[in-house]
Amino acid sequence: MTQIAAPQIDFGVIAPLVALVATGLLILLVDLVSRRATRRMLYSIGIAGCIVSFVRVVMQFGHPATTFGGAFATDRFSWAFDAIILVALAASLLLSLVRDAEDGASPAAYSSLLVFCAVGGMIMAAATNLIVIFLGIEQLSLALYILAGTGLGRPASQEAALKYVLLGSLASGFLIYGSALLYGASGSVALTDIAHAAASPSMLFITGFTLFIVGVGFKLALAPFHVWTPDVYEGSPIAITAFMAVAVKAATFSVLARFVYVVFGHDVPALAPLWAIAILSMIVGNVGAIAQTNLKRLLAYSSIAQAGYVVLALAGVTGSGLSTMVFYLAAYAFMNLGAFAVIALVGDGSESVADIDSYRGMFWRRPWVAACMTVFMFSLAGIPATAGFIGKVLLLGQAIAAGPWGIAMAVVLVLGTLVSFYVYFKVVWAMFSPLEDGASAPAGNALVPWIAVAAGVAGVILMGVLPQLFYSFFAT
Amino acid sequence: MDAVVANIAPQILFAPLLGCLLIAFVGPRLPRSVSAVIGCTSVFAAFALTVGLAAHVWHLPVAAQRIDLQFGTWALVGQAHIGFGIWIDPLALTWMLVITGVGFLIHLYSVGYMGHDANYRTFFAHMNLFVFSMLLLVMSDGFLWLLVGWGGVGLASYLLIGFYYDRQSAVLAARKALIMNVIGDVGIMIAIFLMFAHVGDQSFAVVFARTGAFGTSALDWIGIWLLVGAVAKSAQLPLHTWLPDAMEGPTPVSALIHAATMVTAGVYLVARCHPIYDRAPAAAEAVAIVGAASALFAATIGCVQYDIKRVLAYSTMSQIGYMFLAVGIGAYTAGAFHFLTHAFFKALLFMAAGIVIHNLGGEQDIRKMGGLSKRMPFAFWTFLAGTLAIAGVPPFSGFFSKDSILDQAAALGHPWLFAVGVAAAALTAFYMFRLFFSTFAGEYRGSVEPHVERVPAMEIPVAILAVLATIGGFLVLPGHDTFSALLAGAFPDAILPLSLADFDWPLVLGTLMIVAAAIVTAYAMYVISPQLRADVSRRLGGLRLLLLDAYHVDAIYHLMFEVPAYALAQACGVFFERAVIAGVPQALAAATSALGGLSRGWETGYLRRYGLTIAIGASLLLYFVIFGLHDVGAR
Amino acid sequence: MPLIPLDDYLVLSAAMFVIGLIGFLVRRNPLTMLMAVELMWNAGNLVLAAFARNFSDMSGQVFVFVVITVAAAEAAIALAIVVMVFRRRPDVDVDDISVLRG
Repeated sequence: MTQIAAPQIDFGVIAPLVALVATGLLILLVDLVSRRATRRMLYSIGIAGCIVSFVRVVMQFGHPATTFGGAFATDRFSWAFDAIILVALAASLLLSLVRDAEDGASPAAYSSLLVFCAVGGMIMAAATNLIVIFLGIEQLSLALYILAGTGLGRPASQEAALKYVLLGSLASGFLIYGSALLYGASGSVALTDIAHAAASPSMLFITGFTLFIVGVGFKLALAPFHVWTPDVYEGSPIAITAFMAVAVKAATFSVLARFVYVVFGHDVPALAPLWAIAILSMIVGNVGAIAQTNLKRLLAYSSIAQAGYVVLALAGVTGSGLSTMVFYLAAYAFMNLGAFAVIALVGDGSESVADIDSYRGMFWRRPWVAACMTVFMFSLAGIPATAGFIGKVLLLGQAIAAGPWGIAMAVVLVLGTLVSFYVYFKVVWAMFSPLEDGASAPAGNALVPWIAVAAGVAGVILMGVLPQLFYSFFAT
Repeated sequence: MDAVVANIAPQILFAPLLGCLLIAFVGPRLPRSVSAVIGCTSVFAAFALTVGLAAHVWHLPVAAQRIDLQFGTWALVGQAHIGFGIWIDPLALTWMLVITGVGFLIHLYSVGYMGHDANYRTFFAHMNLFVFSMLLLVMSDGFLWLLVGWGGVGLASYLLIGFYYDRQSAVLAARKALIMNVIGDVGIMIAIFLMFAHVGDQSFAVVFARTGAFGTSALDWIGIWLLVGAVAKSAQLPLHTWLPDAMEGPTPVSALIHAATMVTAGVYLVARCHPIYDRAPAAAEAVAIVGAASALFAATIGCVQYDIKRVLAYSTMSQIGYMFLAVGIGAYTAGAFHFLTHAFFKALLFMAAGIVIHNLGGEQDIRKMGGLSKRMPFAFWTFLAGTLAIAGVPPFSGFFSKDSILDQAAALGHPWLFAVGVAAAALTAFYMFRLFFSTFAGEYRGSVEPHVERVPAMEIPVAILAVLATIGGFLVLPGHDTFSALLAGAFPDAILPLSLADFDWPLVLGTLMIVAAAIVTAYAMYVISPQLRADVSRRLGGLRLLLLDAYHVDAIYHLMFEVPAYALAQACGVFFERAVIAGVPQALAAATSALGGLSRGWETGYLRRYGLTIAIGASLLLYFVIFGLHDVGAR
Repeated sequence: MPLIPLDDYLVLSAAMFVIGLIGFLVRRNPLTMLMAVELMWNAGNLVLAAFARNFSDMSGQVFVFVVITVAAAEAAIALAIVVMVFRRRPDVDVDDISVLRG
């Protein structure tokens, strides 16, 4: 009879995760035990858990480690991504605190689901084999399917949940099948072993990798697997949309980056499908945003284009690519969380006033709101002195040095940016155009989103003016 | 790194910025006087710290007086490293002392002068922003941050020229100043690009240490492009036309920005870049010629203008011409010395004129003044001190500094530049005394009786500056050259280290006699005999009209640039409007919108369509990799 | 009992995957669509199990169990959402759910 060895678990490595899981359970427990637990209290527990977990993540910086027999690793592929996920979680909980926030019937279920979502994201960031990757993705997705539908009063929210769960399961089908073929081609689920098979890839391997990219591309909203994005972003409650836009992207990009760096390690022809869908995303995202009149939908298309931009960081698969990716994702997190916080602020947490028309003349009524939104729009467009500009410069530098595919992506990025000026300036233009008589003013006056807005503005400006500070920090 | 300097220098830089931010963000909630107090205090704090810093640095041995502080990295692009750095040496200290010292006096003066203005807080916020930008300009350790300060002062100048934004002329003048200055900014940018191309860096330390790596021709080009920037900022030929118009701004602004500090940034730039100009003879010569030409050009215009502030503006341009002349021939200390005395007497003249204008209810036309010596004795005496100083009458400060420049022009073998300088000096004495006599002598010619109001906040700074303008020249006495000794640390490797104290007495006496003759002429024309004045005016006829319109430069620029530009625009409007200007972008926009519509149309909202899209996308991708990449799928 | 060659498993699983995909695209009842998706997931499971047997490697089988577990959770959530959406509607047809578009 074989002895089953007890697994050696290094709890220091999984401490951030343990903290988050405990937070989620604590929220449920408090709600169960105490009748007087208010929404504010439960969400505060969530934010406190975020902070604890964040501190544990920061303590891991510079000390790579693995546990669970190497299936779970904290290293340069996970640290910064974990930090972004946690910031997104905290911001999302903050935005859910607003008066009219659509957080469903049970605040405890809502907030613990959000926390467990982040747990899934952090598992993805640390996953070094296909099983754990799949587990992380599903942990994140299953919770998000429910959260997308928590705008109970609105059919649009229910529609978003239905579309998200059905299409998400479809995409997971591709992911599982792709993973299975990769397993078949390499004989192992560990990425380091798959790397051996990648040295001279078989047809089985290429097919598996392509199907895997389909699954990952769905989560990243890369065209043509982006189709769900505008509808789900528009229909979901604003705080959830913000989380989807930032945390899901960060987590999935960590998976993609780890896969590309560990399995391939250098630029190979097999990566061509990735470059192709990045180019398509930049085109579809920017062009699709032109005709939008709803800000959430506009930001959804914007996030499609931005996901395409981030792929450029992988072009050439060089050492500086990871720092570039993290820099752009951090910039992206600040500007998107900020923009969504503005929407939450103006609409008091509901998405009822996400139409660009309700922002017309905003500057003359609420100059600070308009000024902050302008900063975020400028950063998304890539205007100098904002984080978005530096990020795009870094991406272009990465792509141009990376051969024909890289140059093609760089060209599309520049053209896409030109188109996107129209999109973002349309919003700015609306905010600074004269007030119309009799136009009703959005009444939102909550204070909580201001924390997220201020953090976003500070991040965008600081990263735009002092890029070296952040870049060298991420380059550790 | 010198700990004292490293501690104090950043505080000097950021005190005015802090003041600006406080006034802008906290000021509106507090009484208006608080904004004035913050504005003055922050600049005074910077001044006090600068004095302490200067005392410290000047006690160091001369070789150690150049201190390059590094505070970290701003950007690391490829091989190019751009840091945060502060560069302290006697040259920077001279400018810092004037910026903060004279700046503080002018802030104090503004408390009284702007007292009734509705936008009192905005004024002080902008003034503090200016002081910060100017300090950044002179304290930077490289060309990039210098350019940031350079742009910052341009912005502050734009905001303050257009301070009375409900007056169209003020807005137009502000716009003109900005455009002219941006031409200069581009010049400096090109110079920086050239530096990067040749040595891959923009810091003073690297660029100056490696001037040998450039080659003379490249150094000349860099010198010329820097000169373009200097000319625009310092209102020298041919980019000078914005300065007279800039007098639309409040008088304290004219005193601080358009007389004492910002317009001398060009002089600072050339003096700072002396390692470049020392090895770029053609560029240096261009600097000197531009300076001499501007000195004479502006002096002739000054003789016929009627607006008291415009006369002073042209005299500023003329005096800065002297400084350019000095730094162009390598007499850097002489240029810096004239900057120092000029800051005293020109700020004094503007502020004394401001008192006159204030008391006359905004009147600036000297034809409606006269006989004010009895009514405003304080303005009379202080303005007299300033006039004597600028005219170069000993022992007032202008005498020492201006004659230092002329003396060195002669000593270094530039007879033509010397002659032009003397001619400009004579004209200066003439038009300044014309201005002085028209304002204060004779009978009052205005229609409204002046309402004399004595404001201590305005008179105290003017009195201090009057004293400084009187005695400031004693830093350089014949045989005792304190100023050169102070500046020695800034120019250890300059090719022409000259003492200012070797006065060439025959030349000095000759110049003095010409100046005296000019003053007597002015007295004769504007005090004794109006008949003589009328005769001269009639004789000069066309020339006088030419000068009154400042050589028609504005009209010429209008014909040279605006008219062709408008004509081109018209032609484009007629010929290319449909096809190119509107057509192509419209076609592009239409195409993009169509694509946008297509993408919108694809998003039908039907879930199964979305599933189909994903399936088709996956199939195409698979097809693409299996048949497109068969070279790698060979196994 | 003769061993079934690996290729047969792969062909069968590919067929299952495509049938599931087509089922998802042509059916309008969300429950049927979910069943089609399950077919696709199980196509993956079949590949995993076949290869695990082929390699005599446990990890592929572990993967299968993980997928089955997740599939159960996913089905529960999807059914709940379907019930929530269609509770007050006469027909269960995803084509009726298309407010969000553009």
